[in-house]
Amino acid sequence: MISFPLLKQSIKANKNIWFIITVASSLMLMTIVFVTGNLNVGELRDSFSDTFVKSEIESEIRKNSINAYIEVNDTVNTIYPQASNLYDLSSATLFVYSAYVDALHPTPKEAAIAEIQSQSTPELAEFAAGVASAIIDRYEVELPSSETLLDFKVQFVTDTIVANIGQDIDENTIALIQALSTQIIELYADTNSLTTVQLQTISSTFTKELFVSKIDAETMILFEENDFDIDRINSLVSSSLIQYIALTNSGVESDDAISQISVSILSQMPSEVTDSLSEIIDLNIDHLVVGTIFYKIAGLLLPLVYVIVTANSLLAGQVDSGSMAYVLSTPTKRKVVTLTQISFLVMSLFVMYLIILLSGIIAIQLVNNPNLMITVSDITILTIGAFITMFSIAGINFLTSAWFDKSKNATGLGGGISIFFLVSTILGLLGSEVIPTAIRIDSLNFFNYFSLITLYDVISVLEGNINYLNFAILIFIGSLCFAIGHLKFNKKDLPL
Amino acid sequence: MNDIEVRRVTKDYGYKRGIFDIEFVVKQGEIFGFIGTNGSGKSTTIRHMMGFSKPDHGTISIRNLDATTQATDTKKWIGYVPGEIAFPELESGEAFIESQADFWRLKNFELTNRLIEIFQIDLRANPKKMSKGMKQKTAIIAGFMNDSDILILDEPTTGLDPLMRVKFLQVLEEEKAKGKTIFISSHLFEELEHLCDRVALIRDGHIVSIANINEIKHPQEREFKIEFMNADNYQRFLEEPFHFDRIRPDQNQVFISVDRLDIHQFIVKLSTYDVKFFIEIKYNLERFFKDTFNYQERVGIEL
Repeated sequence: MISFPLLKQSIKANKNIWFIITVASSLMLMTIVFVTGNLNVGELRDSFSDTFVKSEIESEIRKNSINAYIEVNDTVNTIYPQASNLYDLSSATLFVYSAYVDALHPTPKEAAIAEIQSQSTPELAEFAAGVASAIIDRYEVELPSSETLLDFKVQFVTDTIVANIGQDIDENTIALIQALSTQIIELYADTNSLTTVQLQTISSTFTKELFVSKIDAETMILFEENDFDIDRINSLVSSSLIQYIALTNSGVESDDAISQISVSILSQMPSEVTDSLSEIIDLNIDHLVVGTIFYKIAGLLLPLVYVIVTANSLLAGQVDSGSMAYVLSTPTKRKVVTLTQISFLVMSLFVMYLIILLSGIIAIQLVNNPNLMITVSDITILTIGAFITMFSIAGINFLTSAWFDKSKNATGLGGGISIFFLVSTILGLLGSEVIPTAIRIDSLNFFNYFSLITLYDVISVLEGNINYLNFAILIFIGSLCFAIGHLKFNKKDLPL
Repeated sequence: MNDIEVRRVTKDYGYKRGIFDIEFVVKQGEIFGFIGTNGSGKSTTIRHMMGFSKPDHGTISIRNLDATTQATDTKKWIGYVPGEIAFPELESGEAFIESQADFWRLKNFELTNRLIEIFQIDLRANPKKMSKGMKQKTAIIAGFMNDSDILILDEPTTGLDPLMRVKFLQVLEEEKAKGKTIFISSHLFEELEHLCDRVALIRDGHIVSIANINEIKHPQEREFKIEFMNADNYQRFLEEPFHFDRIRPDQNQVFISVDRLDIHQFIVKLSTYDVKFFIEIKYNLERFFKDTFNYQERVGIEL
């Protein structure tokens, strides 16, 4: 169904422009891959990410460590009066009790309880008697030596505090309270009185010890990816707490102190700016440059020129000049002419894109950069998509070439439509979602609705979900145009 | 047998342009001339014979195949030289001839080579750089190379120098001798007059008349112009029983028509007069069509 002499003629007539466009497009793609791969567009993103993400993480660590400290310090301040009272009471009871025992009093326990009760204020008398009774009971059981007496008292006070806080407290808090009570009482036993600064030191020491162990595994991985190891976190926590304590002690409100200490770069900027900066950090520049800039615009432009010129030269150009008469004056059917020319146009485009694809793959292999976000499979699907898009546009140009007898009409309409699509895509790009909001002109997105090229959705392709329906529509439009062109050329009068 | 039959073919392009009710046949072995001014409809008629355009009305058949619907089948008999010379975009005339040979699946290049020799053409040139004459010769070779039985030639001598024109007309004579049917269009009367068996004149899309060249070359009556030495002889001659077409008393001239059977008698009569000169006024194709056209104008045939 095709004429080989005609095919040969078409190849000879169009080989130069085909060759030039194929080489130019291939070199363009290779250059773009080299540039994105070697200049390392990723570095820019990484430096953004270094600056912003690390600043955010640091700020989070500071804020969280201070909040943890506040919680601990609240607990300390609650526990301290109770603990000191209980400790004093325990010491007094055991002192009185020991005195009665030494004086061989027949009932030293009751005597000691009675004395403690009598020394207390009337409101606390009953409570003091209860505590005295409890510690004497426990003393009589455990009988601590003079070396273990302190530990015994600490243990007793801690147990009492824990017993007093009630039932609805979780184990972690109980453990926290136990640990804090122990520390407070040990220190109190030494000094008989604790200053606010001493209490703050207990809280901060405690927070530091606890903070790293409370970070969950997932967060820890994120921290480590951004170079936040345990030492760095600990030192951040220490410095945050030191700053916080210093600020609050000098009269700064707690919230103000927190925001002063945990300030990040992003939190200093207006939200519009931070949004667009985050977008830039998220922007995949390889996808934008190779996918959209090359495959939807630059890489379509040259083949588009080829299609406009060649589709015209295959029919309308030859009818206009009259050279078609030589083919049709031989026993060559018109439908053989159209089928041959369609085959040539589609096959030449196919081979063109095959070579572009191979060039792209070679470039990716040569660049050999693991940070390059464009893979061989990406580029393969992108090229197939570009070929399908160009098939559709080739159909339109073939239709006008078959329809009109004058070259200028065929290229005027077919080429005009094609260029309009491309220009709409370029304008539409400036308003499309691949462009960061900072430089996007939303209203230009409107143009995307007027371009056939919009159906070639490189973003979806690169994200891995190929829109088969769009490709089917492009193939359908192309095939329909080829079919109408074929029928029209077979029926029409030729001015030869 | 008629190789080409054009029956009442009309193609109306509007504004009185087109061809209207064209009817003629070309017999096998005949050279049929088609004459008309530029824009008279010659190429349009040929376009329909080649099946490039579809007539509004009427039919054209080539050896009983419909030239429109069975165009491809008729091409196996047809060699065509188009009026507009534009070649496919190939690097040389040679490549073009080879490509055409491919289309024809031509194996025998004897005729091609002979034509190249006759026309002394260097086919290595790029078609775009060829002179008009070279292009025309290349187109003629492409049209003739398949040794087709029917040749359709649209103004084939355009651009040829006089010497080449003569050579080309000789080639046509040879082809005719081989039994080819030739349809040739031209706007030059003398070219067709010497070559053709019959000639059709087309004017404003209508066929004015079809002339049989044989009848024009050998008319029933011959026309003579005679000038006498003096008025006496002139006056005396007017008494003779001849058919006087026109007289010029002040110049002693007469124009007379003589039946070809009476020529001898006429010369004998004339020898008795003092004659300054006498010449035969040749009847030719141009005059034939002019007369036909004037007659049609006079009797008011609507064209």
